[in-house]
Amino acid sequence: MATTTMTRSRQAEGGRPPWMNPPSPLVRGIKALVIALIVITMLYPLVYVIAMSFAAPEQARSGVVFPTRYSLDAYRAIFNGGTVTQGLQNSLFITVVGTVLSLAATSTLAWGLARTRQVPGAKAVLIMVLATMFFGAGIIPNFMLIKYLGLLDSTWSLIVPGLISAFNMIVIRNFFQNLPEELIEAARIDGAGEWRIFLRIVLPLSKPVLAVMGLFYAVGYWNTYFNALLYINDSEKWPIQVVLQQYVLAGVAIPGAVVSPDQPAPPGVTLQMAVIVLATVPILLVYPFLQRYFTSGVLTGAIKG
Amino acid sequence: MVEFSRRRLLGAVGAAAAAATVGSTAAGCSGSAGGSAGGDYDMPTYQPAPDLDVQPHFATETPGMEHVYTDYPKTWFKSVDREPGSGGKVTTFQLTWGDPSKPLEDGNQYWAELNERLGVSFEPQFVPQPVFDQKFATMLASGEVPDLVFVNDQSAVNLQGIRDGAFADLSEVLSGDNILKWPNLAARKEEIWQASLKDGRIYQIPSPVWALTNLPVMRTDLVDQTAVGRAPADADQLLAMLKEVSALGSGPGGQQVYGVNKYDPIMWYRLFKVGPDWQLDDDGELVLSATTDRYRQMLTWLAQAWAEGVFDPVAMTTNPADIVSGAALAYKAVGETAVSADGFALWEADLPGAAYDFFDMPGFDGSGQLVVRNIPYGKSTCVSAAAAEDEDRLTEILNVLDYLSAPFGSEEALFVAWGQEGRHYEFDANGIPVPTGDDLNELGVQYVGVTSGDNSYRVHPNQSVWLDSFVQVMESMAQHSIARPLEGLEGASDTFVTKGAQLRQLWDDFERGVITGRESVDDLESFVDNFMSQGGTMVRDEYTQALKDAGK
Amino acid sequence: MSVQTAAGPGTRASRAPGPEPRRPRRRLSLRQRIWRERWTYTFILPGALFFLVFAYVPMLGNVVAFQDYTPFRGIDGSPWVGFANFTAIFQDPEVLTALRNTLIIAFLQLVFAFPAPIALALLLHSLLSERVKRLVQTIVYLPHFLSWVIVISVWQQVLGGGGLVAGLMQDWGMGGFDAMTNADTFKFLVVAQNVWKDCGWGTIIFFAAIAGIPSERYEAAAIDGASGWQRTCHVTLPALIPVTTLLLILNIGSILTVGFEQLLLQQPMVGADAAQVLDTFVYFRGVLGGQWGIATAAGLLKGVIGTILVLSANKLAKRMGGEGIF
Repeated sequence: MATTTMTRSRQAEGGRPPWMNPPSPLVRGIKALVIALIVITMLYPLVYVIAMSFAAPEQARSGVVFPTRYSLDAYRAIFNGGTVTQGLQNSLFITVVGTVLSLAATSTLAWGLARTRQVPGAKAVLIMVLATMFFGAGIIPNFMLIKYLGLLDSTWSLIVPGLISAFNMIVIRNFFQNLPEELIEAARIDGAGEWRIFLRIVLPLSKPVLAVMGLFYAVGYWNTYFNALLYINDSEKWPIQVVLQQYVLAGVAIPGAVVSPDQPAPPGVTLQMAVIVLATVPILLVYPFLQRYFTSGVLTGAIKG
Repeated sequence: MVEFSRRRLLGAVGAAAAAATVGSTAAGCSGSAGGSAGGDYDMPTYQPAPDLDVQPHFATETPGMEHVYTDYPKTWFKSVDREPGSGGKVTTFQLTWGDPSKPLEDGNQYWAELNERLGVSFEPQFVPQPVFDQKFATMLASGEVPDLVFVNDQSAVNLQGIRDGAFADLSEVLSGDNILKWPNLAARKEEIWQASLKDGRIYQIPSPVWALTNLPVMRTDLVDQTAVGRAPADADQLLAMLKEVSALGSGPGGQQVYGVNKYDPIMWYRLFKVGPDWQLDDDGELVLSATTDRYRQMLTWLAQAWAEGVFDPVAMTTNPADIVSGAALAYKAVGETAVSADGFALWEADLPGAAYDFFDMPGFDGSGQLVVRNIPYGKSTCVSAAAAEDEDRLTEILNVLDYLSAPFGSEEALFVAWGQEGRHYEFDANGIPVPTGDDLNELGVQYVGVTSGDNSYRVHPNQSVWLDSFVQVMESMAQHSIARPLEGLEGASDTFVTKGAQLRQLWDDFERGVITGRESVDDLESFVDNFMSQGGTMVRDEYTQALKDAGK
Repeated sequence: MSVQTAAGPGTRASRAPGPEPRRPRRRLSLRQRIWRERWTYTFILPGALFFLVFAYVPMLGNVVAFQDYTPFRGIDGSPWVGFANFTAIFQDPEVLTALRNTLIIAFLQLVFAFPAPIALALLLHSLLSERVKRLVQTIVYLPHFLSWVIVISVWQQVLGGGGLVAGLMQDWGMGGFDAMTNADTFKFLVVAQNVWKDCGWGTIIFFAAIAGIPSERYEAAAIDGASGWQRTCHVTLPALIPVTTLLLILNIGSILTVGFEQLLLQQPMVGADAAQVLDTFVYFRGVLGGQWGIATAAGLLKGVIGTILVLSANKLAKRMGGEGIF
């Protein structure tokens, strides 16, 4: 869409949109202060986690508020296991494939349910979907279904059951409903089919919300943990979160029972922190790439222009 | 099983129809009809494991205490003399920690040798600890119970599996001398079998455990700065000592120090001789320990200690990482102190200036403390009921378990626990196996749910400085220890199984509330009333009946 | 909450949302309407099938709410007990405390935690430098990725009895300070932790909404002489109303679900009177005790209440002139 890019470049040139004038120094000062405060409080824990993950073992064991001596022991211990790379690969597959499939399935359904008033039965389906947000099933029925479908020990068991989240579907639908109608109307008058309208007009116009939902799904798939533990016995297929948690849990007993006095003592807080760093940093990197879809003013140039 | 249902049907006062029906179906599932459960059997014969070729440093007959060894065996005996299995498949459901195991097909040499030694294809299902109970439930629900299943009978879900008949009744197979076919299984004392009976039958093959797993330790560098010193005679002196340590403010390395930095109830229960949760009073009636005077005295003392700053303010946290202070007194596992290569030696190196020792806790009134012995507990293995229907298959499964259960000092146990010499471990100068090499993740396949035989404390050479102190403190604890009246009967109260967690939480909540000043010790009576009305009364009645049935 | 009056020029009409084909002159029969929308069903059917299989089939397992269920006996082998599991929940004296705490926390969340991301999104949106904006966006969403154990640990370090604030206050000669074990203020603490953890994450969805605002509206508003603050009030905020309404309705539906892990971890510090909520109650009462029937019954009750709340909120939103979900 040529007009869209035109609109975007118009605002990109000056660094800020032409209608925005710099506010008064006082307002700017207050804003800067508030933002600085927010940034510090939000950044501190991450700095703490990273610092602790590099803490020298003796400091971590004897207890420190913030480490002053550092070592790579925790990371070495994790990577020596050798299964981390395999776990990363598994998680990457689940995340990428899962997110793509989820976005496709969710946006399709959302578009189908966008016009509940015109389409007989759509409202019933919408309510059916909505109800799944409040009524769940226990682990046993879910497990039996996965088993019955032959998905146990398959990576797909971590993708397929969570393909469409009711919440995400309803949010996307809401955005679809707020798209400028003129465009779609015009395409319809031109005789474009529903699928053509969906693929050529609706999806391109919905990049911001698709980016957000993509992020939601990606984070969800990346953090897959509990289902993986339930459905995957073959440790070669474990996603990274499961693999990493195993290191943290080494030596932790079943609650309520000291299982084996021969087991090694639980590893220090450093290992726990290193695991957090390794488990979160890859997914943190996704967001900055999505931000470019959040530039405002991309739509109407195409309509009015 | 029938015992359970009968009691349920007759004695469940005010229980919903739900409870009554539990019993009848449970009996139906167990496959044992009529009044007497299964066939008659004797307790399995005890056949001790062969003696080690080293002498204990400290030998004892005190109940609760074990021999203390400082030397490792020089030769490792052969415990199993039997043709390997038929090459069939034996599946397990086993608790897993640490690195995932390297798969067999990727050249896991440990697994390959294990298969060869067992003569079967050993096919474990690895169950990570965080979801053990959930996976246990899905395993039961799917109806596909692996041949050997690790069972933690302190967990309600696991107990349900036993009660519903998922696992084989092994009473007759292991009865009396029958067990001698499996010498390593036979290397368990009767008390251990006794403690894990369910409704009077053997479903579980238990593992021996230490009766005393934890002991108090102190920071002598801090305690020596107080007027009271290392040997407070009673609760008053202990309180004075702890207050003085808190008053120091900071210790070596500029670390904040307190009298105590983590609330561990057991330590204080011992000090105030509170005894087990359910205990017999002077009239032989079962009562809750919270109704005793000693419990009230303990709460009062702890609340005072808290108010006077003995405790680190984060002492009630559940996350160990929150605690960064040092403390005069702490409650530690034997496994992380005396028998560990790390223990005090490492801690002292970690924090220069800190010094540790074991602490012989007095009783609050100047007499001895009161320690409750820790038998039984959850670690056991069950055999699938379906697999056990075929006698040959049951024998083969028990053969495998027998091998895995080889006692300490045997060549088999050395392999099962440590792997192959040179590849997975080396002997150090003291003849102790030390893990080594890059292939340790091959050991992920090992079955850790079962051990047998000698259960002594093996103090690591790194801890030799504290050896005498360890022996003295442990022996003193054992001498002041008692067994719980309900030993082996905990599972006999259905209310305890289903509501135990809720009641425990109620109690913990009140206890911590009084200590931190949120609640008052004056409300103890109303707490007890509440506790009893929310299920405590039923628990008490069910236990009283169980004690009567057991002839205690 | 009328969109077209609040928003400036270029607002879309608020009639039937989404695409609407040729308006028919006379009422079509149901069959004709279905035939006319045949292509739309190709969008709906796969998704509907998905929910049928992966949500509704397992949901049949909820019948165990009326059973004394254990896994090995299964649904076939477990006895039916009518409403005994439900009565067991209602008869428990702790359930009232749990319900009260849940509702108070949920209310505070709605008042404080719900609007926080909107405020933050507006603040960030008003920043002039695109680079600073992106950087700050990236930073504020970080805490979302930390587990509750870590979050509470960090809060402990700052606001706990031996923490940073307590240390400062002691240095200044003021008494001790411990926000982490204070049962009276605990519910505010919970909400503050929530705001801190998820506020930045929550802004993302509002950024997507802001990104959809046609730039012409800002230009037009600027030409009319609107200040930055006025533009926020008259252009940005109205454009956020549809998604805000939607999220609010969904939030109201899940009012009985408040941070399980967060509260479970802190309960030993402040006591059950302050921290027990429905989910932790079910955990201690149903899950740990292996009482599957009770746990499931509690889930069903929550579901029914959630559904009723969502339907009411939806109706209310519509009555007030908004769109609602359906």
